[in-house]
Amino acid sequence: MASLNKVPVLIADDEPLMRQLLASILRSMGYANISHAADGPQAVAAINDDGIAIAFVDIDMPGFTGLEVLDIAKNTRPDCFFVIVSSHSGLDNVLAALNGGARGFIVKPYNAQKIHDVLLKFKK
Amino acid sequence: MPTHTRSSRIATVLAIFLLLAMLATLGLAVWFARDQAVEEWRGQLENLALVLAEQGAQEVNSAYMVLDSIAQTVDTKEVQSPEEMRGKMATKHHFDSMRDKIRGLPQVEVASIVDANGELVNFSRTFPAPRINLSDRDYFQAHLRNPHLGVYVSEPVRNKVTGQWTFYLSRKLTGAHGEFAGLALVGFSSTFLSQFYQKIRLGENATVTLYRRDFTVLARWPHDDGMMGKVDRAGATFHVLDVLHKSHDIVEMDSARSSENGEKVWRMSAVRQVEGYPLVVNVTVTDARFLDQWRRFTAVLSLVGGLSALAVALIFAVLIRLLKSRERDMEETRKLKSVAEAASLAKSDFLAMMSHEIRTPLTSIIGFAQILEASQPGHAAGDTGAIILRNGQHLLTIINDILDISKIEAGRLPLEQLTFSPCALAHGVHAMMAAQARAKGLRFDLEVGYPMPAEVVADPTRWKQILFNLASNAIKFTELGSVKLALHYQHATGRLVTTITDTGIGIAPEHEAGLFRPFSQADSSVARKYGGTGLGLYLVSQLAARMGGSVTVQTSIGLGSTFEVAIAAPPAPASAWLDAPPPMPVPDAPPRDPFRHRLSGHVLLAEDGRDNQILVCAFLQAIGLTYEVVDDGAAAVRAALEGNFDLVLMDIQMPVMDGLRATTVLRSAGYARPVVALTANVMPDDVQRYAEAGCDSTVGKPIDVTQFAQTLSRLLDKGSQGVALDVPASFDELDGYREIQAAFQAGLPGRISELAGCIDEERWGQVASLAHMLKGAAGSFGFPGVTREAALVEAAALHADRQGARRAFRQLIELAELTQMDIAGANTWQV
Repeated sequence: MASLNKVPVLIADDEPLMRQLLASILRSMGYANISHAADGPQAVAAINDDGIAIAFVDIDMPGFTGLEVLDIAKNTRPDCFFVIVSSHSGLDNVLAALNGGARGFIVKPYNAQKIHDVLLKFKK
Repeated sequence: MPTHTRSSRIATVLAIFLLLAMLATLGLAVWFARDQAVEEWRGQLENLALVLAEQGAQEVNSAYMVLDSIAQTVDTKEVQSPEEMRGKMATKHHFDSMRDKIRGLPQVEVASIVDANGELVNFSRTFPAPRINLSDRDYFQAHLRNPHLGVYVSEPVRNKVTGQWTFYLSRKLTGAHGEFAGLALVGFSSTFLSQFYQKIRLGENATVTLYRRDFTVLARWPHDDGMMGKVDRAGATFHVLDVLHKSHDIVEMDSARSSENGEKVWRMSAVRQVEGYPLVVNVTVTDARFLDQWRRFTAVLSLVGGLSALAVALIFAVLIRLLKSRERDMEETRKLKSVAEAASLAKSDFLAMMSHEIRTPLTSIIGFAQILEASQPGHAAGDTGAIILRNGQHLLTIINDILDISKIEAGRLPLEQLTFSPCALAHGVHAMMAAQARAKGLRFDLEVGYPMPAEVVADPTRWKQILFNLASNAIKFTELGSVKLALHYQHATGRLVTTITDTGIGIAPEHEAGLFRPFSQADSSVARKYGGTGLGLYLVSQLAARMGGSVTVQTSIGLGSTFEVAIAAPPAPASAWLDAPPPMPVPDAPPRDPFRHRLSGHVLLAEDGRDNQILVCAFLQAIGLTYEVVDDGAAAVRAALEGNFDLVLMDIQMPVMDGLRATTVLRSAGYARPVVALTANVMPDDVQRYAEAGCDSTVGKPIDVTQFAQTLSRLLDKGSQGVALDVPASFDELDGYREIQAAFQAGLPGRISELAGCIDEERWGQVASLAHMLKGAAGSFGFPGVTREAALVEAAALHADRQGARRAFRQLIELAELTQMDIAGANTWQV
């Protein structure tokens, strides 16, 4: 996947350190085109306007929750690969995310392997 | 409701159609017959009318001649007065002359001479003529009125003495100067005509009438006084002459008829004018006559047709009744069959359920027996384990056999069509059974006849089952000698054939027949000595039949038996043909210690059965794996997403969320580690479903430890290969991680202090939010304890549980990983 560095990836999390960590992990896997969003509205704007291909979206964010972002953006960008990232690991959350159109669900705290595993699906 | 048209309905329609066709044919026949009858009668009547008109013309002509002769005689006398007429004509001579003239003319009754005053002058009946004046008669008046009248035909007159009817033909006599001198008269006998008409023998319902041109009835047969002299302007004669303006015709009429007192009568009339005379002949027959024959024909035809129709109807009625009865029977049969099928299905379902229910405890029994046997080989406990294991496996075999049989009987045993090597399969069976034979001191040989296809297409599982059953039976019933498993291929029929020969006890001929019946053994003493359910051979024969083959046996008591099974197994496409044994991997000796596998990894076990949890955990531990256990699918999803497992063992039947759904959810969430289905339901379509849900493999219950360990070994190897080399195993390898971590660490005391303050002030919303953030982040930056305890604080805060929150927070700040930190306010923080 030589072109991974071009794939536009969005990390939406209100915690800057968590964004930096995830960005660092993604860079280690070859993704270089990474943008950040600190809240729901920013995330929606980025997904709609910046042609994001993969969006890691935290659930707990100001503005819109990650699930709301998913609900808003999946109609305008049904091709976008949404991954919900959350420390809410309850089944209700997982099912809500999946029913809402998420293609992956990652529970915080995570390791690099989990990010890698979820992205296997994207690469398919 | 059967969708096909019932045959009784078809028969009914056919019967109605046939009857209608018969009726139509009958109707047509009657119609044509009527036409024919009418045509025939028209011809007859036309001829008759013609003959009668000719006949009448001749008779009237004769009378006219008489009349002319008399008139001529008188006219030549050139009389001057009535007296002269009387003097000259009232003589005996003329009397005789007149009598001579009418002799031989029976229709002429009388001839007379009348003078200008109407006095009778001479008369052919008596001489001298009586003194009668006829001047008031119609013919006399007619001649007086019209001097140029030729021959006049009078109305018929009835003789008061004889009762006979007569009409008169009259002609004017001329005197010396051409003046009216009297009349010559000829009496024409109506009665004679009537009697003549009678001789035609038209029978009843027929009439012949002679009309004057003005439709006055002159003569008629059958005679009717009342009608004589009446004018009939309503009948066919009037219609033909004055309406149709024809001289002759035949008409059919339905109008009122004067001769029947005005009744309406259907009749056919031939009307013909007598040529040269003012006379008309009418021959009429009523329908009673001209349709008589037709009616009889119709009656006979109707009778015959009716009887035929009745016969047809009867036959069909019987037929339909039979068909209906048969349909009822068939319906009944269908019902009974569906009831029986339902019962059979219920039985199969019950068996399947029971089998599952029995397998679950058996899983524990066999599994723990394996552990017991392996843990203390050679000791009493180990032997005990071996015995429990053997018996458990035997019980399992029986249950499997029963389940297979019930499936076959319910038609629910799916057969696979797979490509496999018959040689390798036979070698496998041989290797597995050889030890059992050796233990009994028997030789167990495998003999393969070549050429043999390298690969064939059939169901290898079921074929193996057949070989196993027969081989194990042979070993069971043989005490001394050998067992031979032979294999060859019938090229012409495309059949794979095995013969299994033993030197065992053999089977008595009287027991041979019952050999392949379920639950029957050769005899009960055998059952007592050797045990067994008697299902094995029945299952073999059923399987062979399902695979398009059969089982045969040759046996003699005391010498042994040979069972032969042939199944349809076409060579695989492009399969090579072997002429010699292929190189076979030397089969591993069955491992004494199934737990020799040493694996490493962390496994999540989702299993609701307490005993099975313990058992599987024991297996996992025995092969070197670490594990965590959850009780249901929902917990499995959460644990798998939260934890770092190398593999998930997923029971399928679980409460809350079953394993199938849990696997589906995990795969949807992008979970990529291997998932192994752990289940008692391992039919091919079950396994297919597990695979579709995202399971990488299936391990059947009761668990075969060896297979279990092999499966896990394979998947863990594969899983570890799946871990890409470029994925950092630890965050430490990430660029800039140190800096991020440092930043987090720097901020951590402040966050914890803030959390402490919020707890003190019992602002639970903020407590939950802060704790949630710590829970999500701390673990990623080297503070897993903080993540763990923060989760507890968050949970307590969400319930506004002051005690719980404080307790959890106390544990958090006492964490070893925080000892180096100076957390403002926290060190003095008290529960």
